[in-house]
Amino acid sequence: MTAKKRYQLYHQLIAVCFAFQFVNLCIVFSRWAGLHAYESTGLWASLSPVVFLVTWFTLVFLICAKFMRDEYAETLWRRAAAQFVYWLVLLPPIAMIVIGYVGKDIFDSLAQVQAITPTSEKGDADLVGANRSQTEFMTLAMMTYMAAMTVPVLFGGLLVWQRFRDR
Amino acid sequence: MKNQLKVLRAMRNWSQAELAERLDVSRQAVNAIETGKHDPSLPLVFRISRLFELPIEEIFDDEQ
Repeated sequence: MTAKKRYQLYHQLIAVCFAFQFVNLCIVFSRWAGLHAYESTGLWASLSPVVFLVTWFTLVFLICAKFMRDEYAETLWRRAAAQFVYWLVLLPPIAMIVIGYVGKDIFDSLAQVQAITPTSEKGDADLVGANRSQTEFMTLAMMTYMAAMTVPVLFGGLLVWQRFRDR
Repeated sequence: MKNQLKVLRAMRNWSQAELAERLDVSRQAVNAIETGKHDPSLPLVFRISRLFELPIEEIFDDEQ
């Protein structure tokens, strides 16, 4: 592939991959919020994981692949990176506040369960500890998964936004 | 930075895509330079100057 074709493709591929990944993220969040049921049958249900996986890999590749960018795309990338830093600093505290507010009942019930379990099941302290470690590991795995899903989409979105602003 | 790229391109009857191909950049880059959204790098400025066979000062105006 010639340099010109690569440079030309870059903007289009970023836009397409971002669009698919944004839709995917919306579906994931709406499922978590209980707004959208998981569909396991039908053509889209079997195709969508492949489409989302391919566009995710492509998006990650495009963000990392400097050789795909000409100097204008590189300028957009740098601008997006500068904005991304602000998001990286601001988003986790905002998310924490939202999670703390929305999940207050869940946290309260979890605290109650943890307060009751060790005393009511005397002698099973090791088991309780093991369960807690498992839960913590699962939480960490889930957070990593979410970061892997959202970070490329956020950066891709900023790139598309920068390009849109220049029109 | 103001420039005469659009005028020079029109004089040669080139599209943005054609000019992009000659300069080895994307069409989006040509559009961004023409509209003043992107200041080209020095190597690209020299390529533009050579392509149009004009001194840099006649193509680009650094006064805002």
